[in-house]
Amino acid sequence: MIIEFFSQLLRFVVLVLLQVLVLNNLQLPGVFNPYIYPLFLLLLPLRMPLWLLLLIGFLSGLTMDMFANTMGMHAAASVLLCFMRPQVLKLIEPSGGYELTDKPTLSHMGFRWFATYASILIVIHHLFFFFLETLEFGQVGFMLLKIIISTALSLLLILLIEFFFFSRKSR
Amino acid sequence: MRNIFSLLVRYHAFILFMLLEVSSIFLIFNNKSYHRAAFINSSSVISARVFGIYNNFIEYLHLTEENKRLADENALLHSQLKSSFYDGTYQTVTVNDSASKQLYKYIPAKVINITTNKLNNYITIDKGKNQGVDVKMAVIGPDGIVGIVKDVSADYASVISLLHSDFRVSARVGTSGNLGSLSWDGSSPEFAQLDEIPKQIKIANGDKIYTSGESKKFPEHILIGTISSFTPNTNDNFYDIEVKLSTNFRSISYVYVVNNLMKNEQETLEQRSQNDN
Repeated sequence: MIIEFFSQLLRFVVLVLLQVLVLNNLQLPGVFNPYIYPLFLLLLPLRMPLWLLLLIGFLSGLTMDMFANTMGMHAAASVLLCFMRPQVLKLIEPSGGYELTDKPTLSHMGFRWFATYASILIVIHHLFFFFLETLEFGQVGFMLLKIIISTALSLLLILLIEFFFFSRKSR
Repeated sequence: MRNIFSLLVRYHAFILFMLLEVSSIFLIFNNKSYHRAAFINSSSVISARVFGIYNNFIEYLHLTEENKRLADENALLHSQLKSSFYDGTYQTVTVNDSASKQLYKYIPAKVINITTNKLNNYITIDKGKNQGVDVKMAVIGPDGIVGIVKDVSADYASVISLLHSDFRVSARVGTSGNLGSLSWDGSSPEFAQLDEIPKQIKIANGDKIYTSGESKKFPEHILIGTISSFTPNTNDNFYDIEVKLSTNFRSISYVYVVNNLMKNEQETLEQRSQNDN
């Protein structure tokens, strides 16, 4: 239990640092805005109660907001992701249901399952986040391009990170 | 009463969800205001410390480039010293100038975090209240204007970059041309948009854009950029002007915070005359 807690915490710290020190500093054109920190929320234990999930989502979103000066936007998007997570898990439940030892990771559930799971939730998260950003700016065409490119890029990065780093440890 | 209680238990997750979303959205709109600082932002202790430590590591990568820039700037400043002008007049009159008083003070600061590809970009610098930085002070770089301080903590400050939807500055074509208003449309970190220059004024590509003394924050005649293209707007009387910014926001690492020592006096005066009307 304690080991589980610290490994989750470590993953959170690593992802946040990677996000704010590397990805947020990529000097790329504005349409490239990948966010990988939601991977932390995807990998939280399967049977975590929803209220705890929501609180963790809110706090991790606020942490991102603090670094990115986007007060509240990451928090709102992360809370939505956490709220939708159980529904999505139910939607893509394997025919026999989840086992007690199952974890929502690539190595446990296979690539197809994890890719579907991550895609749905990341799209929800990014759509809501960029929607909130558009409210402020209102450049719809530019934002659509940004949503498509950034979401694709985030997903690619999340799958790569999960494949090469995180899931290797648990194998 | 028991019904309400069981309802709360049953929908506790949904209620919590709504509560968290509403508070997030409250935070977003609370932060939108230009003058009100958010209570958590990049000048807060944890994030500023993280950026500071990280910056200490990567600073070395840009040292050569940065030294060259500082040397260039030093050379420029040297060339503006009184001693570097040849005095061509035959008779010289020396005026012991007690009439001029220091108006602007510059506080050098290091950029410890900067974004350029968001819609609202911020810069975090390593000087704060203890070093005399305060909100709404202007920030300029070696090549031109950079932004305005939004919030300060003890030793750090977060700055609204020119690349921010709320940023406006009063600007002038040439050193004495027409006044316009410069803002950023969110598309490219190299270009900003200048508005309110009437169509009958003659302008050309390559014309320099400077700050006007109109804004109380920026000193006069600080370079902003050059005109890269312009088209007359069909809907109103003004040009749409694209300005190539002189500051390269992707590589800036040292800035100066400008403290206008007489801003208070000017502001109180203007406030008073406004109240009289």
